[in-house]
Amino acid sequence: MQKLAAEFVVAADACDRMQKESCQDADALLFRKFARQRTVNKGNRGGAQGHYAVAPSGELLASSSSANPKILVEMMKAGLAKWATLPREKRLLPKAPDPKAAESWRRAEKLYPTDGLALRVVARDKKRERWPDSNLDFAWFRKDEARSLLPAEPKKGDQYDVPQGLVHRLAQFHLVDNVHALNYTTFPKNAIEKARITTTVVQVEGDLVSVSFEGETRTSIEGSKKIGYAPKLLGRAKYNLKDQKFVSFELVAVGMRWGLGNCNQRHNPDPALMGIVFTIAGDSPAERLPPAFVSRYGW
Amino acid sequence: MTSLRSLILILAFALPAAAADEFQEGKLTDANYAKWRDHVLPRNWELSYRKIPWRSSYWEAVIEAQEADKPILLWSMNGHPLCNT
Repeated sequence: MQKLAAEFVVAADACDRMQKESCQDADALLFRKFARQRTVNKGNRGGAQGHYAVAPSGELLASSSSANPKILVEMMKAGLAKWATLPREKRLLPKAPDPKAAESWRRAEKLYPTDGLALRVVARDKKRERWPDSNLDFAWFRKDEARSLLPAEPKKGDQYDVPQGLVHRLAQFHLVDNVHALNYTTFPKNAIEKARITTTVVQVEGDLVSVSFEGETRTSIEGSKKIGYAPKLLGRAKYNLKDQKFVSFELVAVGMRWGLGNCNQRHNPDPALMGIVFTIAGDSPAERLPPAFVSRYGW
Repeated sequence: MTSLRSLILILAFALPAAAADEFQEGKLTDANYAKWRDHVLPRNWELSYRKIPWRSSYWEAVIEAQEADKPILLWSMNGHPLCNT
């Protein structure tokens, strides 16, 4: 399969925006050109989600969203076979696509905090209900926000409250139940019942400050939908004062979650333990993807 | 989504091993901190799909494929397949 995949330019992208008929972005116009040609054959479930083999022109070569790897292989082979039959004018766009066009719909990517802190956020249930049993998002902090996670002049033994705005942001948009799938239900400000993180300076060695984190949050939506999460938080990190950067970072949240969410494929609303871990993200393009709710950061 | 993630793992030639969930402690404490952290963090095989050199946007792939005269293999989901989907 890897050999087959090497015949393609391989990409992953969200289809939420592109599949909307009202979206006139250049990528969306091309995407809908082939997405609407999908058939229900060979395991396609319909809808725009799935795998596509497509020409740069937007010509559909093959598609599938089947669970069966043999079907994916078949789809890739069928795509390559069709590709081989297409004349150049059908394979390619009449003129080179404009890289700058993406600037209008990839605004969130531009917010990446190069000199701040980008964290990978993984959520998982204590007790596995079904596969997948974990999900991944990112949390971003601008340079000044990252610096404000520890005191201005750190000395061993100092205790310091992380600014409320940052803890609220974590509680509203990152301490959420997305274990099985993207959860469009975030917590409004008035759902926050508790939100506190205390930083303790454990050690200062030259420019390197070691800290620990301790805290708790409780968010709860009442009414017809009862959804909430009440974790305790512990963590540790090292910050280089000279470079003004975290060199290591871990924050672990564990507590009961309850209720269902919007689109998160949760079927059992009963309270159950869920953990969420924040660690420093990598540097590849896949690790620089924006947090699901970065548009609500107020940046 | 289950099926798509499984397919991607296969694409990376990963052989998922059953992850034992022997975790039994509920409340987060200094004593069980590492156990909880390790329970939540992904195993290597769970991240194998991230080793594929995905272009993180369809448009980026269109630009590259147009230039290279190659077809595109696109994985598309509601929510980005490489993070929150």
